[in-house]
Amino acid sequence: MDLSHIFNSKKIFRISFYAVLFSFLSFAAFSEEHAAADTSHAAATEVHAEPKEKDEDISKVILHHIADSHEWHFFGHVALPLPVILWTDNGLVTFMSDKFGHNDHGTELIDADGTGLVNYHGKFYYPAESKSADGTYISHDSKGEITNGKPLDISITKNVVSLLISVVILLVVFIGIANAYKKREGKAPKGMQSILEPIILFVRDDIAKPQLGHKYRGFMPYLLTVFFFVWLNNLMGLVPFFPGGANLTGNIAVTMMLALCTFVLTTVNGNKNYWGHVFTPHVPWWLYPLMIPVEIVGLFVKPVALMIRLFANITAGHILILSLISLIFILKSVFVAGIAIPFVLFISVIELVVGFIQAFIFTILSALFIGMAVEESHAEH
Amino acid sequence: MHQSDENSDRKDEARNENQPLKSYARYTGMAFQMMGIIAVFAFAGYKIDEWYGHKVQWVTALACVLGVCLSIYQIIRQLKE
Repeated sequence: MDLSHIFNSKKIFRISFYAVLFSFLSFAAFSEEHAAADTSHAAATEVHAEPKEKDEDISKVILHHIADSHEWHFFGHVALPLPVILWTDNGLVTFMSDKFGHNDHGTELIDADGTGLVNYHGKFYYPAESKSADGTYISHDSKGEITNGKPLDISITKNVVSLLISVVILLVVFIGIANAYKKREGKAPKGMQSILEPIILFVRDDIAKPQLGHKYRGFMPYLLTVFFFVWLNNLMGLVPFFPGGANLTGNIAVTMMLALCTFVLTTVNGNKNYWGHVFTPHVPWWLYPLMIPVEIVGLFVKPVALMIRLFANITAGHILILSLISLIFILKSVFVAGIAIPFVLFISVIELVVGFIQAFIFTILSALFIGMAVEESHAEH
Repeated sequence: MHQSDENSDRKDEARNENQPLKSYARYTGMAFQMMGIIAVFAFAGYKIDEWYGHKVQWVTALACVLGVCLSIYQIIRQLKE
């Protein structure tokens, strides 16, 4: 029996690498479980108050990092204030986010041009009549839901700024490329053109053409826009400092709007064949009352799946990286960094790939759904 | 010129029909569709039970089973295509 392959050093390295990875992951899961147990224990007896606060702090920090914000935090106490625009009962109220300090615990009343407001975890509410037991102007019902009224928040938040930056980048790059094609017609591509031409052709030949057939031409602008928008924002979300780090594609409102665009395109472009499949499916007639609802559910599930897939993948990646860094603080040892930081780098590189794959999947599924809508009926049916 | 363009597109279509990518994209949507169908039926059953104030939520249970059956039927139908 030849066992030499087991002693192959490369293989040993790989096996030990994965062994460490998995033991580490299970350790992380264990510590989390332990923390959860601690939390419930503390909540029950109110004895272990200290570890409870610590663990809650860390999950708060992680969730704070992936959430939208009224200011763009750089480091320490340096942050870029962003305009807050609220539609309140008294009409439009605007101010810069740093005008009333950084109290977001709901303990401080804000007087914005005569409109009383309170900032609680980065969201603006109308204050309750009086302070509640925890010292905030926020009142909760028996289920713990906030009962305060809320003005309509249309602020330029961190995500909106990030969105605008990415739009400017995309416009500059692609208008430049389009002009280069006009100017250098018939010549070899140059500069940015030669970097992005293979990717544009990839979207056309591997995404649009297989799904849409000879009708691909009309949908190319949408598919290319969605692909580069999602990809650029996935990558910008991975940059930890300005102008990145806004986690735009990990915001479900953004992915919902993208999915809605695909939904509108499929609905508007759906031909007789497509709607025929929905309202007269190929089933016995007595199944119609059941199958038509099923087909209609299918119409809405497709964009919802699109929305959740992108949101969940990007959010999960960000939480994973932040959790690995947080291990240093959970285990309270600087030596954990020796393991945690290489893993953070490892996951970050994976996230670079995931950023591309998710943009690709979003685009190919959009193309597939549009393709199903514009497909001619098959002769064999 | 136009004719040849059309022809090359047809060829592309035929060539790409066999690519695993297309079927992969198709199948990933099916799981979500199954979940959606079951969820909608369960929700409808739950609401009906709530409306009539049933002590035992048998409509929810029946609707769930119906949803599972229909989603499996739907998947088999799609796989046959």
